[in-house]
Amino acid sequence: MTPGGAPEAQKKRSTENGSSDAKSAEGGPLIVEDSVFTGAEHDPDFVKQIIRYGGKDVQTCLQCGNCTGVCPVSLKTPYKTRNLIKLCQYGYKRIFFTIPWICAGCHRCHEHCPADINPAEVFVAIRHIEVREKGVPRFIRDSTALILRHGFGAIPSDDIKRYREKEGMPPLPNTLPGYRKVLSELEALFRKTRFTELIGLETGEGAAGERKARERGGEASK
Amino acid sequence: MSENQGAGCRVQGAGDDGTPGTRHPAPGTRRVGVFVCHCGSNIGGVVDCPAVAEYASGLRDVAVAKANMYTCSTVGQEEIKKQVKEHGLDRILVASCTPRLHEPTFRRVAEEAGVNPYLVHMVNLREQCSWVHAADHATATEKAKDLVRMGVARIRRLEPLSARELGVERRVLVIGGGIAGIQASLDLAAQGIGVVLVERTPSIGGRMAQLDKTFPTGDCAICVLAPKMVEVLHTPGIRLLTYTEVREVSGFAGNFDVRLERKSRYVDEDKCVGCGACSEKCPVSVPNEFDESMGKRKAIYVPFPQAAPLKYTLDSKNCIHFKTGKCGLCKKVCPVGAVDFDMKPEEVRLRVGAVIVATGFDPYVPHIRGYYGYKEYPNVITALELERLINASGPTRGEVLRPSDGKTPRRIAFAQCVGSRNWKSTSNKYCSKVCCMYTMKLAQLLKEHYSDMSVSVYYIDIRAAGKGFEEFYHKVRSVGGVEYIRGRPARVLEDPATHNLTIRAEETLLNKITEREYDLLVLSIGMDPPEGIENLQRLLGISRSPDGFFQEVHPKLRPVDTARDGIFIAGCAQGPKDIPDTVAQAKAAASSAAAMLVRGKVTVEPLTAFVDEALCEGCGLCVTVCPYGAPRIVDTKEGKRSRVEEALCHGCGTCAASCPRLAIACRGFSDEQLASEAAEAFGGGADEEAR
Repeated sequence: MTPGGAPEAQKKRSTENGSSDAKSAEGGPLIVEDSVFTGAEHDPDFVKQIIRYGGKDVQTCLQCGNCTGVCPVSLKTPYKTRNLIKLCQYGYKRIFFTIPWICAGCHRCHEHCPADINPAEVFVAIRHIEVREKGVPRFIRDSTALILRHGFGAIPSDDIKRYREKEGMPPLPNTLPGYRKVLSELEALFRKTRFTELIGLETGEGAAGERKARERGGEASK
Repeated sequence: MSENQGAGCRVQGAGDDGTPGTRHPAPGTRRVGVFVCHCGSNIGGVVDCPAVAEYASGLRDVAVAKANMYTCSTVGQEEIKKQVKEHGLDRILVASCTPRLHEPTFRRVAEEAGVNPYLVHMVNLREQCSWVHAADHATATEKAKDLVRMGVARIRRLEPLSARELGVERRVLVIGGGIAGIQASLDLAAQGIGVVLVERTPSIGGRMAQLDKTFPTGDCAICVLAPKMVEVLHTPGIRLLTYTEVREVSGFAGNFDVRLERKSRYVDEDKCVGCGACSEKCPVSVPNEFDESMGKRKAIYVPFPQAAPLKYTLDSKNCIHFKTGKCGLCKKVCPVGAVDFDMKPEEVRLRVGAVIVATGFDPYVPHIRGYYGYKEYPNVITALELERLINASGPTRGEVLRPSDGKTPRRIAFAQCVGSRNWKSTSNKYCSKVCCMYTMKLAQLLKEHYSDMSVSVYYIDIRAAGKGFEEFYHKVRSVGGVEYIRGRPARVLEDPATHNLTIRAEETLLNKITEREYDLLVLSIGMDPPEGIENLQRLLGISRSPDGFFQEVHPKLRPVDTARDGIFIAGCAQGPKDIPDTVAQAKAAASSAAAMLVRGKVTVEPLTAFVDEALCEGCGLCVTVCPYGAPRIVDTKEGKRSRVEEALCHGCGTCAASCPRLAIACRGFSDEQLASEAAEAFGGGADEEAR
């Protein structure tokens, strides 16, 4: 994974070195020097912060890569568990926002980790940190709205419908009309636990609430 | 703080009426010399040493007090002797560093000056004062005065003691007949010290005998080991007892009483000539432990051709005669009548002066923990199993053949750190130290035997620290063409038809998940503490470190000593190590044991616990708490009483502190001596009143 989230550092470096003068035809820099880590992106407290929010000490990671090898997400995405733990060790906090949400939480990595670190828990800790420092990310809010509306975090795509047809499976049932009661219970639960407050979603306030949710759901599906 | 202020006032007083440096109390009282050491700037840079000396000179019974630059130096020592002569001192108090460093020095100085060495007391002004109060010179000086005053109170009550000397048995028990035990035995015998070498399996040789070649030089393991094994057999000073276990060890350094059990091998060792006729006729075939069960042996067998002694052993568990009472072919064919079905275990009792524990290691067994399909997929084997396959005297005569189909594999993978460097409870946390290197050696051998074979090594880190090791690694990668893949195998899947194995792993340096197919997977297993180590630990009364191996007293300066005097450890019994380190430790242990025995006697420190039998009720609490097994309960006319074996006692004081009847005291640390010191600390000392 390339560390892409350091525009300030990039700008600073390029002006310092005078390399901002060298421009390609498109106006971007010809020489990309910001692929060099300077330590400016390093947050020395990140490791301790992860421990505070329930993760283990990532400094003990041997970087053996066993977690990546057993991770279903690493297999299908550019994110490699071991690599993310390395970036935790380095204290590259910024890059983490939104990435740890991709972890499916299957805990296979924990089962195989010789250093007994439990990367899945580390990612949960980072989610806590992110929520406290930056708030709940947009896509979580959006999918919550979808859950309250349809009972699904993600609306099944046409692809899935086609696959099911091809495999001779029955079409997915439309859960909404039959499970209204469940949805209202879910909503009560969200409100009771103040989850709605945390994600800044005023749900259940008559038609307005539903409309808001629908709007958000619509945005998410765009 | 109030004590310090009190002390400060008294210094003032001492300065007023006492003559600094010398003071002569009335004759007939004790004559204490106080020597305050600057220790360069270690103490002198913080504590005002001359002021402390001046203060000390005013204390009761202090005949002279001096401050020196280095009391431990020759000049400092001569100064002590001079003052003893000049002032007729009978007690010496040195206020300097910890007694752990220089107590022996000052005891010797006292002895040379004609003062009883146990009338020397040390006050620690360095570790317990100047080093911890470096920021506050004035208070540090006050504390130093307090400490010296306490020390003087203590030394006034010390009694002269003398060390006892006991004779020793010039013979060593060596437990374990691997390369460590063999080397230690030979070294001891060469110094004219008797050796009893005990091995629990039928032959000496140990793990080294199982190996094919050794890293990094590629010497044949058995070729260099076998001559030593033969030497053991032919050295008159070594009594070799194979198929024998240690059952009891009692006594103390110089005089251990040992009970051994010679298990019955059902073959008379004196008669057996090792012809092998019995084994040839034996109809039972079972997996051979020596070949890591890759090959077979008979129920009556020698584990390997070079076995020493070359005496057959009957495995009664698998023998038809022992199961059904029939067969008996071996007995019929034996030309010398050595087979004896009625043989009984034999007990051997002997006395030795020292014990060397060289019990080695057991290979980590991955199938208990289901590692990478070991024992589930036939083509997953351990490195020790590969050693036996590639060994010319092994079950395949040196051919590497896949267990599933008996064909030569073309693609071999090694998985490193199996059972090592793993913080899960099912594995060992430590690095087993040898696996990186033996994998290189095996990879090299495979490449030499089969030039078209591809060898890949999945590793986390490569540890090639040792003489010629990194060079060997370089050679294996370049000339050997061995492929190193950085990443721990994540999954091993078997194709049920071909029994080939697919390894999925992250190649961490590429940041890519790879899947590759191999014909054979070799697990580079680590070292476990050997089976039965808990029992032996209990028998010997020595300790083990958290890794499960025996614990040395000091990792750097006393690497082969145990906390129990006269018992030494060598080789993998102390922790994973390679052959050169093992041999070095064996030599060290032999040398340490010899140093004790050649002197012919052991000194028993008089600072030991003793029991006042009038107070003792024989409750036995002291026996429970003693870490050295020194006290025991004996029957006397008055009933049960505790007695402390002085040669075993280390004077730790645990028994004295725990005795509910206050019947136990430690010489040099009596209640009175300690209480007087404590009383001085809190300003209520008798000495203070006397002044």
